[in-house]
Amino acid sequence: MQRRSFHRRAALSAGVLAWLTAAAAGTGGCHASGDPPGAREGASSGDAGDGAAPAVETDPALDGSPAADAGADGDAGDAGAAPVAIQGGSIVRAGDSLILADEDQRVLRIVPVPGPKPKVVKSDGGAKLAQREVPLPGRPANVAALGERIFVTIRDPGLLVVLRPDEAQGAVEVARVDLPADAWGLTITSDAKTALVTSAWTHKLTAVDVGAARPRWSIDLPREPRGIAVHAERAVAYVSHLTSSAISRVDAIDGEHPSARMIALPPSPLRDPSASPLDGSLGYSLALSPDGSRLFAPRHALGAVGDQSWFGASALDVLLTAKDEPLAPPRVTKQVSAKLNDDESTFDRITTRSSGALSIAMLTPFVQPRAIAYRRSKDTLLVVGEGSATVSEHEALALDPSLALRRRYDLDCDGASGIALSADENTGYVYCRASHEIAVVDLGNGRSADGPRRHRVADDPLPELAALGRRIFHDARTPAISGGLACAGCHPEGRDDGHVWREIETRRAAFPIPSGVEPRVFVGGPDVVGAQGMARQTPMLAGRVRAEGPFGWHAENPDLQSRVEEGIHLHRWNAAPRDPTFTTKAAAALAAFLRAGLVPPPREVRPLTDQEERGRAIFTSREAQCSFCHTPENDYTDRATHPLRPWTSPGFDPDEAPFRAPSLLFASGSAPYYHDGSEPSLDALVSHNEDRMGKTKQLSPADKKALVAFLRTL
Amino acid sequence: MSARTDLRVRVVAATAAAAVVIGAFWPRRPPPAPSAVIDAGATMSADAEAGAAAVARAGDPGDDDAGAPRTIDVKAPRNLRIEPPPEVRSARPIEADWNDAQNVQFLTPDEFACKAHIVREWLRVACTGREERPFFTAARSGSLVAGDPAEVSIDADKETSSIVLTFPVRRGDRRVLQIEFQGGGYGGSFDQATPALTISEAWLDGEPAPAIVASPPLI
Repeated sequence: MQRRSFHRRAALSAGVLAWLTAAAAGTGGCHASGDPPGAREGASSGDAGDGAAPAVETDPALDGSPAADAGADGDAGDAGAAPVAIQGGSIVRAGDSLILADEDQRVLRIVPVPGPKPKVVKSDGGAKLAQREVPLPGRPANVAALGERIFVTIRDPGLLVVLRPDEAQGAVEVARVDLPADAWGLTITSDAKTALVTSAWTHKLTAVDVGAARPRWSIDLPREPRGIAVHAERAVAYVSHLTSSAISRVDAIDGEHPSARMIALPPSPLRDPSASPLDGSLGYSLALSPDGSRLFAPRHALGAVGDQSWFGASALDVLLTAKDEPLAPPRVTKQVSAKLNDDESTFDRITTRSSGALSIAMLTPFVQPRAIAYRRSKDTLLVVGEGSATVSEHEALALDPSLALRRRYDLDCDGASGIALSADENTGYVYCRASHEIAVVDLGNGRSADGPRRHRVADDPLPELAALGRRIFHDARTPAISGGLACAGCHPEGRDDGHVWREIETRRAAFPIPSGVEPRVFVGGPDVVGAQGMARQTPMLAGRVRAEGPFGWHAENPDLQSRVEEGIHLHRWNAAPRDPTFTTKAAAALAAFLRAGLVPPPREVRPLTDQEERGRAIFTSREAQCSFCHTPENDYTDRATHPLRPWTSPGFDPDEAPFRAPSLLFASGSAPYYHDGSEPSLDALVSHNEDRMGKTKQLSPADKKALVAFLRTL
Repeated sequence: MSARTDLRVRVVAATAAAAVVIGAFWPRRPPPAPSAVIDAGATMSADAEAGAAAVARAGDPGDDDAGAPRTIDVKAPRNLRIEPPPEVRSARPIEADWNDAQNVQFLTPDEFACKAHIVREWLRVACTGREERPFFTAARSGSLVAGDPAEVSIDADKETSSIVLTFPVRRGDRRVLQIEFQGGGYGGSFDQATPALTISEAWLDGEPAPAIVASPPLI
């Protein structure tokens, strides 16, 4: 049965492939990139502005088609292996074509798979790859190919768009499914009947009936759900989160009444210097082993000790799905060790609480993991590092695969966001979103391989300076700017990692810090340098940086560029660059990108409910005084500093200077709150506020609820 | 009847990329070079050609190895199959047992001077710390990072100048050990920049054989 299913999958794939190849190669009346009239004319999906969804009808081609994929690519699979879910990504392969979700230009790009020895194309010019460009009704996040259908998640408005091949137009829309806004992650179950979609900002997981093209259910999850992995036999979906290390488990996904719960999966326990689990972030993706026994979660472990421990360490954690327990045991607390040299002057056993000199060198196996693929032919994991611009290959059987690095490929592109594999799994195709390239990686066959080759697929739509800022924003390879973790490492997509960082004075560290390190720097946890530091909850940037100024926790920076420049100094651990104006130049580019390139989260446009109106009245009332500082006409902030009443942040150094009133825009999705993250929700914040900010002590419980309801609309 | 399956010792290759970890301390192995090097004075704002690559590299002093994108050095992993360990608990081998033990080749001897042997379910890994070894390949300490310490022994054999790890391989195990080498900072791979061999040993219920992954230092 499995084998028959596999063969049918292959046959369906071949059909799609023939179409895609012909279309993208310019045969059969197709068009090269830059001038794709067929793709732009009359495509039902291309009329982005009309907002009219085509009639939804049951499409026989969608109903019950077996899986056409095995993992990240279009038709790979080995006969006899259990069918696996079809994993969406920013790039997928369908036969001889690659399909890219170009979020910045709101199109799908259909590109022929580059040949084995492609020409290196520099980013400054040369012909772009021949391609078909298919406009979409919004920004696409992920794409998946199934049979003769292409599924695309659209962020705003939240949609799942289904397209079919079309010789004249590249692809045309055949169905459109309304979803909670910010539709992002996409996986299609192995029976091809259900598409699962995460909605990041609105924190939902939605099941879509593929045959009927309609939502079947939607369930609430914690913040920023992103990657999805489906355990077919158990009808279970695992979902990763951008802002936490825990994994959501959703049961009964094949029914009408799913249930969700959180599974603890501490990040990088072997590198955890403390007794309590670390925070985790950047959970963009998940992968299951072919037998479903292991779930692999690449992310970032905040406060872990490692090669560059100021920001933590890359993690590739494993959950055993039989019992939903972490594979790696906790780090031992009682030392079992031996050493050859007893001379303490030459060998001083360093504990994690008094660790030695921090390395300022740049290495972790990967930085800012964005995507993962299981390479079945080798039993290895391929992790795409956005910040490191790498594909790293890890042994899947290790207790901590991040340590079991087998190979690493430098991509030399920017913003690597997804990977697709060739049918034989010996070639990887990586979409580098910030530099608008495809990097082709020869994964080889256990032998030395050629370096990656890059192909330009598009021009950056941003102005030149902002486009440069986009690349810097994602690049962790430059000690002079990023210190090993790029802006996007803490501000993914310009949002936040949900973590409370620590700003320390290096002179207060528990051991001498090497010369050249900035006097004030950030660390991910107190054990890194043996100092508590002042609390700095990562602020969201997208949609909150329009003002001229001032910026900074205490309004210490007159404008955005100077704030970014100070941020560069705070977020690195090494000496200044040779050119003293270097940081200023980088800050200018970054500031331009923050304003022109970051996309604010979606916001529902509708009249306020009665309760929200009541909340608005309270907010703007002289009694509550909220709007005195959070002025509505100025993004809900007066940008001035205000003394907080007596305030303690347990576990942090005191910070008694008055704080600048933050913007309340998008406050509903940026928990936890305050600079120390001490309030986990808006409800808790208002409930506990008393008269700390404004005067809310007198409000009734109903009024407090109304106030919270209004805050959620901002 | 105990299952008789192969014990797989998977070897994970070291990568030259990891040289960056310690590059700041040890100039003999510089970090991998970026593919473009632009002087710190390069104009950023108007130079789209240089792009972020230019900016990214501009402030990185000392990088002078421009070149094409590279693949980090690859050393083919070896999956060695030896007699599987019996699932019957046995006493720790005595020294005479080790003299006749089966050799398990799992690291390149000329690089790390490490040897492994197995006696029944007992695995012993020894790395020499002789001073004539090149920097970063001379062992100096060993430690248990995670897992059950019972019956694990870590010895510094000063007669042979070796760090010796001895532990049983049994169903239910989940254990990580490391041997730290000279050079860099302190604490091994799990702390700071010290190069270390890490050994991950796991034999999960329901799995036919243990998985032992040895990862040489990331240098």
